[in-house]
Amino acid sequence: MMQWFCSGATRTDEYQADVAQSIGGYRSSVPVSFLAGDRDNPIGNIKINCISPGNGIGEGVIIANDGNTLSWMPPGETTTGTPVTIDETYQDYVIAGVDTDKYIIITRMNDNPFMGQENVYIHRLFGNAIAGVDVDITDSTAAPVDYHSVFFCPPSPATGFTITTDSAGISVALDTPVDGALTATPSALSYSTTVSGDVTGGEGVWIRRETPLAASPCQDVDLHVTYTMDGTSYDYHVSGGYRVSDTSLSGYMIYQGETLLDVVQEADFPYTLSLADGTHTITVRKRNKYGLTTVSPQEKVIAITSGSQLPDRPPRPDVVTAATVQGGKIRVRAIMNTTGTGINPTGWKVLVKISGTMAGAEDYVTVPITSTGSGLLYLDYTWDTVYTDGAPLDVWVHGHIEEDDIWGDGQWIAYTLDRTPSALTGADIFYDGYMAENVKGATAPDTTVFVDSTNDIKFIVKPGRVWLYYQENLVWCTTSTRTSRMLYVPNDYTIQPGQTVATAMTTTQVIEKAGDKLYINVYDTGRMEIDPVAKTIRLHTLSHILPPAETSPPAPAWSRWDSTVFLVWSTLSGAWGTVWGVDDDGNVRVQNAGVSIGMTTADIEGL
Amino acid sequence: MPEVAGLTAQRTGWNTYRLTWTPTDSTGDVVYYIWQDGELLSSTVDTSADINVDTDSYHVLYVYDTSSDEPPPVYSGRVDITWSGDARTEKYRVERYIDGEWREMQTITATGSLFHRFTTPYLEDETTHLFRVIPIAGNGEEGPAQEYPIIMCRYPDIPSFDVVQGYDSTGTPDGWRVTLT
Repeated sequence: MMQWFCSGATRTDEYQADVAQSIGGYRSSVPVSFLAGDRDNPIGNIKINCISPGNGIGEGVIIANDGNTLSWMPPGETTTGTPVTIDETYQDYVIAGVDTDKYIIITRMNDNPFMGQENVYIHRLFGNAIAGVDVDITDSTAAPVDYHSVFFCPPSPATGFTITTDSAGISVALDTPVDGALTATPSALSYSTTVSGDVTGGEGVWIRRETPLAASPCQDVDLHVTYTMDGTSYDYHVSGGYRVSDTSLSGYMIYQGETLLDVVQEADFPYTLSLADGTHTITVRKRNKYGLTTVSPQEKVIAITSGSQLPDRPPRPDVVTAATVQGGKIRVRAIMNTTGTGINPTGWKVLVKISGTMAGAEDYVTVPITSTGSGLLYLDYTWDTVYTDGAPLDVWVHGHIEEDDIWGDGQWIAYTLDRTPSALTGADIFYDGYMAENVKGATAPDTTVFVDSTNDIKFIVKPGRVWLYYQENLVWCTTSTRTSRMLYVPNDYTIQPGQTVATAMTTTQVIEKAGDKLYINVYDTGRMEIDPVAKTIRLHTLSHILPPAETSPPAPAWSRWDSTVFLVWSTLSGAWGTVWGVDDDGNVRVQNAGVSIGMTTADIEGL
Repeated sequence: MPEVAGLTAQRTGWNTYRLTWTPTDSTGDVVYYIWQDGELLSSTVDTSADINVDTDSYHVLYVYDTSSDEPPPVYSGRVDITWSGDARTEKYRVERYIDGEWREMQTITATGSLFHRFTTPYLEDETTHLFRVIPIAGNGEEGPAQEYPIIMCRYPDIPSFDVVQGYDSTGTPDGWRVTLT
């Protein structure tokens, strides 16, 4: 196999690894690096010394056929080459694929038997002796054309040696060394995109590189090499890459709409714009000297009336969810994060409409925002219109500032009304068990607890981050003796730092708090951990001692009507189940368990 | 038209986004290929797809309607430094040249494997960063350092800016000021 070496040595086989100096002179002892290999799950006692250029870029595999034998499957291949027995340590071995141009050279470092297989991710190399060093086209001292060279050395004479390149600005010339050295005047050679000849010993290749006209983060240099040696035809590519910089490109690009207004430097800020009345979108992108510009830049939308700026528009709501509540109305919830913006929306604009129908601003409902100041703002609104099952709906939510009627960008979701009861496996585990009689009409054990008029009970672990949302005024729990226990939770109840929840709730070991975490014992072996800091909910065995021994549920939570459904482990059935059921009045409700928790999807993590 | 039109990303959860795009045709037979950070993520015949992302991360997404199209290269802000080890080395100290001195970044114990990897922090664009790896034997003796100069070329960070009304020295409105924040 042909070996390629750097040039630029002051005598043959001197160590010279500097690509910038690989120009003429004598052959260096340093092989040209064409490709780099990143190893995953490596076979411990081998070292890869060389990846042949014929492998190309991609993922190859080294397989240990037995304790002393390895084989190589190059990138893009589905079979390995002939296995190679490697019985000597600190000796180089060539392991080739079916195509012998695709090989690696490895060294065994100890006598431990080979085991398993490893993936080798092969990458392009920047700045190797084929591509040359990076170029700055604004460097006035740089020549418009530069030259660098490498040696190629076949172990035996090669015929029909040809190099072809179609890389931009690249041409090559062969150079037979005189007394071991390449010419000192490479510009005098004749360059072409195709050169050929017969090679009997160490020859040189000069690579002529015309300075590109434009900046580039990746300029490829690829040489297609073919020859015949010892009756075998070889055909592969040697390649590398270099970068082209243009320092005049660096700067901040200021756009108004799609129009580039100017490219300025950091020192030029603040930058003055002249803007007429109207709404303008201003964008600032940064561009580097390689010509790469910011992806997905920040936009600033400003509205100007009579030369003055209207208040900033509310940001687009982050999360919008829709759910069918009893009677078929649509419950719309959303979160808008105004933290750090200084924007104080006064309300929400909400619209639910049949998909494909037209609607105007007058069709929206305005929902006031009662909290003041910026931060995380929450919408929880029930749209009055009742639609039929299967109706495809569009749900739109905007932030709104009443003064000057400023609308923020809308967030939209598609929603299809569906009141079909859940057909999920195990959906009836709980009320088929032993608690069904307690869905309604239970007497409150603690009459001092406040329950709001909407029958919604919020259990806020940490304001604005994670909260539990129960339906039917109940949080159902069971004790280890399987006695059902009903727990009323005050609306907007907030756990204070360090507060013992069990005491506060006047019940025993149903809800407990440790550190920042809240634990709810949901069944005779169910134990739910709510971590508002990590924003996770996990299920554990009831018997665990903190820190909990986690058990994994078989599926994440999912949305169903106006709640998010969690799977719960039932020791009665020995399976995971949900807590949905159909009441006598035909309505589908959360049944009999304290683990049906309504949350916005923003807070569902860790399951 | 290999790259789809109208590609938008709508946040649907804390770590989830829904991508939607304009269908290439109305037959519904088109397969769309979703690429994230230079790697093929999934394919679908729908005109939307849900993706999961890490918090505070930065991703480049493309959707094509043909399998033969691939996105442009991704220029990562982190670089893997990899090296082959020596069985006699107990650990490797990775250092970075900062403010005129070498500072330790990480010490990696040689756990029997001869192949080692260090992933750099997110590196400043348009800058040459210098790292080195020093092998350390069991007796504490240090071997020669291998240096790794890294020329960082990546997509520039998103500039943070504001636009406010400007005033002249008399307090009269005078255009609009774009400021970096």
